[in-house]
Amino acid sequence: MAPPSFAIPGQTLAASSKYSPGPGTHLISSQITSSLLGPSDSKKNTITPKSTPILSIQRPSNSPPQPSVNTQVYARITRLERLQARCDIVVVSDIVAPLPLRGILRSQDVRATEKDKVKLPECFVVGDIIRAVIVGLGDQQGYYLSTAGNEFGVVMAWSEAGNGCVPVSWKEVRDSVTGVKELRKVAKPI
Amino acid sequence: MTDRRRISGPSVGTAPPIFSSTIVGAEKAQLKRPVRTRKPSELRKIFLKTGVTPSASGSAYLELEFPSPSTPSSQKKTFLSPSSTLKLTCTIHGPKPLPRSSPYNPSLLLSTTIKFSPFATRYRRGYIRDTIERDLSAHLETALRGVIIGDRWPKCGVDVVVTVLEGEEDRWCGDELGGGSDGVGGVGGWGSMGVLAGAVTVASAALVDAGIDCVDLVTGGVAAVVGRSRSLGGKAQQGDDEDESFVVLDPSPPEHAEIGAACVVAYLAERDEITELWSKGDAGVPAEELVDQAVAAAKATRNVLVEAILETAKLKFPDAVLSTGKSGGDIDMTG
Repeated sequence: MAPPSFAIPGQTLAASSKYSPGPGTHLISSQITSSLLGPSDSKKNTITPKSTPILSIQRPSNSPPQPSVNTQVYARITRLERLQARCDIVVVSDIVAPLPLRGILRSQDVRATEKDKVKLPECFVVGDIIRAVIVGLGDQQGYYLSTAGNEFGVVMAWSEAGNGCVPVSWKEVRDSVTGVKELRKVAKPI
Repeated sequence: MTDRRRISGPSVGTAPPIFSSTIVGAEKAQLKRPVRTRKPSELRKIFLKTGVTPSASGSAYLELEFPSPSTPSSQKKTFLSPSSTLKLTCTIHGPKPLPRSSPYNPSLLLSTTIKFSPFATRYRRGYIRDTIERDLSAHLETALRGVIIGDRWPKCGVDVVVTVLEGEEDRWCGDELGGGSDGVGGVGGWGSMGVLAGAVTVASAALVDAGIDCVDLVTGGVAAVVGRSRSLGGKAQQGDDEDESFVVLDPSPPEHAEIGAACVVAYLAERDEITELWSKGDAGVPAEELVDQAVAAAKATRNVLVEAILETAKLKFPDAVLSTGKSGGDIDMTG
């Protein structure tokens, strides 16, 4: 039996022997049941291709994004400390968060190599916009972020003079007006 | 605690002025007790609509049918409305990140508030939450806690705010004039049970609108044992017309001279579970039946809720095929 194309919370969708429960669903006595209002969607399981397809319910577009591990985010650096940088996550997987979420970027997560030689002031300045990935839900202080990887790091930076900067290497940016170079952990442009 | 920042009204409730002419004429047509015209098992019509507050992540509005007045408004000599109805709005803010000071919480932190407008009932209320509002908020929280799948939203909080624009009265205004045990300051509070049932339903619609994971749709239902007080308890089955007490669904307290007991449930129809049960008064032998009837009222309310959220679905997912129910053009319908 094919699952209904549209579901309301509490509606039974399919038996758990035919499908696997995905986002927006839950299991009650081996029946996959919807927990949201929305159209249903079944996808092939990409991690274990031999198992049953994943049945999920689409979330309405206006609901706030849920950060999870391996989600790509954009964040603004708000404070630099000796061992970690605090930031406000403003975009979660291409959806603007209605309220900024707190994030923590620890110095060992800044880059993949030579982790112990990272000096945070040579990588970030307060106000920079970074592209990062969530590596842990963290504690009440905030989500743990990582910029390890070429495509992660500073995407927007402003120099000491206040002008916008352009990247010149993986660890340098140049003021577009005065031409002064500053140090950043730059994200590879994509 | 008093509010020192602004000039507050009287600390005790005030009532709109009642003129002596209405007291003298209390027996006359202008101040007649409203009569329940619907069947004991019939609910008042419910209007339910979601998405009324654009700034909130989810919102809903619930209104119960107002019984048509027996006298036209032009002939009325008093502003006192003999019957009462229910108008509730619910807004949901969040899920949003918890404040920095709060400890780590692996699931969604639910906070519920029920606030009466100052003008919601004849008994006027201040801006500070009173005990009834706190009590109802706690009841609503238990009702919703059993429905929300909290671990889908770690480190998040959600605020459910129900504003009572018009609340059910605890008794008919004519009874109030006479004083007595159910008069001013007496035992009562039957109206707040109807408010709670409505608040559960409206909050459920708003939760769906906000896209918060729920195991089922929860609806509130209320039933009451009405009749004459001396018949309540063990003597209910004697069968004398004068003494008979019976169970009605969705009672409007002003319509009944005596309410022996009332019961509110928050019910999940698909799972056949009750998340909240609140009973008041001495139901005696029919206590179990009272709960069953309250569940029946909640089941009937669910039909309206389903129609209302299918309307929501049409707005949110205009291109999705609605196969779960017939396309109801009008959501104003009987329960």
